[in-house]
Amino acid sequence: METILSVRDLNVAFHTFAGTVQAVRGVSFDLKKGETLAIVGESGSGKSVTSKAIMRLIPNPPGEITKGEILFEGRDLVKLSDKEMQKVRGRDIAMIFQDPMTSLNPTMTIFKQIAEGLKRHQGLTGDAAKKRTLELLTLVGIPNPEARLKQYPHQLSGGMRQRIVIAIALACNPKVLIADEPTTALDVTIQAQILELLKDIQQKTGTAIIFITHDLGVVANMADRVAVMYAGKLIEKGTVDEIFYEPRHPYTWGLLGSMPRPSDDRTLDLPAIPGTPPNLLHPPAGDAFAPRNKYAMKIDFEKEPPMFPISETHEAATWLLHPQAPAVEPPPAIRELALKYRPDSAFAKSLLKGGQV
Amino acid sequence: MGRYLAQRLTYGVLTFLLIASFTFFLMDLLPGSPFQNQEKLSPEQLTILKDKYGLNDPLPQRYATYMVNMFQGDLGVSFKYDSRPVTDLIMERIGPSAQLGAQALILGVLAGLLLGVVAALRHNTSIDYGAMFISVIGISVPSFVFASLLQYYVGVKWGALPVAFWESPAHTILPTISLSLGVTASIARFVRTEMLEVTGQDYVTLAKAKGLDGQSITWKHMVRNALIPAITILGPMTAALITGTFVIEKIFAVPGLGELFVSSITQNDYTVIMGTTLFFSAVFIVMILIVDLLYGVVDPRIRLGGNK
Amino acid sequence: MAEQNMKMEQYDSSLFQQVELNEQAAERISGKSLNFWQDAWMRLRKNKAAIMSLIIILILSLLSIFGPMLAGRDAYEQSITKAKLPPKVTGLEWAGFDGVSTLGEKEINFYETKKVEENYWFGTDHLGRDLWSRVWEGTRVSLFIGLMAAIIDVIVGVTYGGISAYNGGRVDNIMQRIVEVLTGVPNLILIILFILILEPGITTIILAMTITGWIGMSRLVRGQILKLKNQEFVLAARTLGASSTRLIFKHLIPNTLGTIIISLMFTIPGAIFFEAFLSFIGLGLAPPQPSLGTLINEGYRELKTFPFLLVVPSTVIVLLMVSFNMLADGLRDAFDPRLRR
Repeated sequence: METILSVRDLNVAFHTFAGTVQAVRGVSFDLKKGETLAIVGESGSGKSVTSKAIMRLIPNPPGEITKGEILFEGRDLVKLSDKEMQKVRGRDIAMIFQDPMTSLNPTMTIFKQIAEGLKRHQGLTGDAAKKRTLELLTLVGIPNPEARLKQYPHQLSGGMRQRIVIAIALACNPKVLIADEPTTALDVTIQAQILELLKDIQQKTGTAIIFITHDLGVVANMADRVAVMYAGKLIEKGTVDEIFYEPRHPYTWGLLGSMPRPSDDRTLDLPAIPGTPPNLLHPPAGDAFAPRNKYAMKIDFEKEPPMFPISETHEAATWLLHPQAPAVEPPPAIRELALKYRPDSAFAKSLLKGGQV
Repeated sequence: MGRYLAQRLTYGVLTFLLIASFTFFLMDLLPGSPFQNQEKLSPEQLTILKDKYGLNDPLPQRYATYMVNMFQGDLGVSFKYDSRPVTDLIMERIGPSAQLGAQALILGVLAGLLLGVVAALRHNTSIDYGAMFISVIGISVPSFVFASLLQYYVGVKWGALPVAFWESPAHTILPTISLSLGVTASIARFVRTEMLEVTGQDYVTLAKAKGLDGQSITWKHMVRNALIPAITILGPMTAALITGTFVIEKIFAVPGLGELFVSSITQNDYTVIMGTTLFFSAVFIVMILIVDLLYGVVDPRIRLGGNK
Repeated sequence: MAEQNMKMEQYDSSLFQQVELNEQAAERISGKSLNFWQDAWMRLRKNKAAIMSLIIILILSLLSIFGPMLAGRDAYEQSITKAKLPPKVTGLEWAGFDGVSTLGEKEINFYETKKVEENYWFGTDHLGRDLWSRVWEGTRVSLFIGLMAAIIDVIVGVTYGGISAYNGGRVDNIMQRIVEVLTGVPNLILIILFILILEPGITTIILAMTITGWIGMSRLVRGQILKLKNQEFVLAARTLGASSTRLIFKHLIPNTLGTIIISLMFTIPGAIFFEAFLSFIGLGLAPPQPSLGTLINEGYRELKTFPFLLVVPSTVIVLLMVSFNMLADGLRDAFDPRLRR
């Protein structure tokens, strides 16, 4: 499939009072037409900053894209002027934000907020804008759309507001939709509705989606491919099956292991990743995860691991994949998943032999 | 909105009654007021007082008489200006004060808005620092110091503008500028803070994500939302303006209410002091009421009810 | 894939030895942790304007205490033969402190015409009193009024706002309705009425200013405590059986202190301004007691002939007001970095 967006060695820094925070450190990935790529990681891993950087919405100062390229249909967005970038935002790449309670302008009617983008990018005004707005409201499943046009955000519920935010994003048929934790602030039942809506819209419009989340359940439900971020770096990426059933990075193991499953023995503690993420004011040398990694080797504290390719779609940045590394035994939960669902994979076979490559 | 309005109105009336009562007991009970020093008054004044206030009636009855008189617009007579009714004196003086106050308010609000918005848009640049320096000076320099210096240098030394009195539009320039300085400074600071607060809001980021240009984002999304809270400081601004007129009218010899108030204080003209006090209080209370209503009109969250 | 076949770089095999992970080390918090006050002080120190202001306030305060002694003259001693002498400082003649004043078209050195040998640094007033001594004496009065008014505001406001917020419910409701009625009162007019009742003087001015002055403080404190009251750490302390007194003094007050200090710093210049304002319209301190307000009022009367009489006390009051306002701004930024602009 054709690549629509390609991020190459992206670096984002924030110049703060205390010093420079390297929030994103050399992130690269491709987004293909019509697919959903999930970026997962804990708070502060740089996933949100990455998504804002693609939209060039990093406030400057204090933030700055220090290095890298963001190629959209062959054009490097980093090099565009502000005016050119305005034409890309909302028309080619649109974004959905985390908190629907604060992302709508409280003093503007729903109609105006949706129609603004239509007017700006498609020159639609008056009845044409109204007609399109009604279409959009219907598309995102708002009942009685005609009545909503003149309403203000505070008159709608959180779920309804998030649908409005999605309608705003979809207004100009964007080719890429960035959803930055779009369901985190919502009730679980509403969450499911919004996720269904996004899937449905993707089928209808064929837009590619970058889905930022920390919720692995949502990832399993939504994504075609997954990229795992830690401390401003991508540490593993692959198809959703590869990440869930053949994970290679100890951090990914930790993430998956800490996800509770109904079948778990409840008398046992849920495995957690010890410690806290590193301070990105002074990123540590070597693998940033090493201090929390019970599989850590000496080299992890000294040299940064490169991305080791595993398959055509799967790669991970851990020294465990180096031929010189000793074979290790992943946590039981990971082993169990791999053997149960992917008994034929190379990963599962190596597990049976007593460890990973 | 209806309930909100009724509530505001009730508070306004309550406040006014409180002030009026306080004024009454002050006039009636305190040493130094004409009611306690009847020997100082002329026989003619004494008759008027007896006639109007029933000096020998019991306290509750006198209070009732006073309140009834007040609501009929009768604020008594001046002891200094040939026993003229206080209401007439006030009416005569409203014109210049109202004009001066309105001019200063408009100038101050416009200049303050401009300064505040520009400072926030150019945050942490020399323009921002300059604007904030002006506003710190504006807040810190007492209006009478500023007015005196303005009068001395622009009026006396350079002779560029009339030094005093209230005769032509040119005469209003220096008093207006002097009075508006504090308003400009306060509004500039407030608007800047609100603008910066709004800058970080998600809906502004969303507006950017829609691909809007800087102008639309600033005016349609930021300024409007920043100005709604700014309306609230119009109440305190009115108080500041009233305060300001006391000294500014004195300095520039403007025949307004502030000047009447200050001269009645120096002349111990109690009825005039009380009358103008009530009048200023009423103006202030009405202004607060207007501000509240304006807030309701501009902010759909209050206008249409619902969670705030 | 080509990459897959690339030759892996070889490393010293000792690098691939497993490291025993120290769980404590993983949980260690990196970086020195500062408490609230250290953190605020660190931020305040970086604010040049605020530090400058603090220094100016300290200098002016010291001058207000020791200034009159430096000149060795009494602030009340009159001497008609030495009236209205312009400022003169040896060595500062170039800066206008030359004892020369323009009268009509002519420049006159009053020290020569009046045959005065000694220098009056800030000149003398219409009664021949030394302006240097009077200005610092006046500054002391103004600072005292400002400080006292601010302290009383804090005591009353914190008590009222604290009780209102801590009790909540009906008590809060009634107390807040009272406040709403009071905020409708134009405070200056109340102050003026109050001064009319009582003898004009320092105490009267302070009392008059605090009648409505505490309202703003009580609202701030109430807001802050209401916010804190429902935060987890307070609920936790309550669950653990902390007494009301302990809750108030250990948890609520310390966390409200920043707000109180900022408000206090804004109250002081406000009170200094009000004193000057009242004196200017003739309601201030009775002569011969100097305050910055009365000095400005006297100076204003002589403005057209001897502008220094207005300029000197005005400069001091403006310096004080600017410094207090800037310091207050700096403190607000330091205590509440979220508001840092």
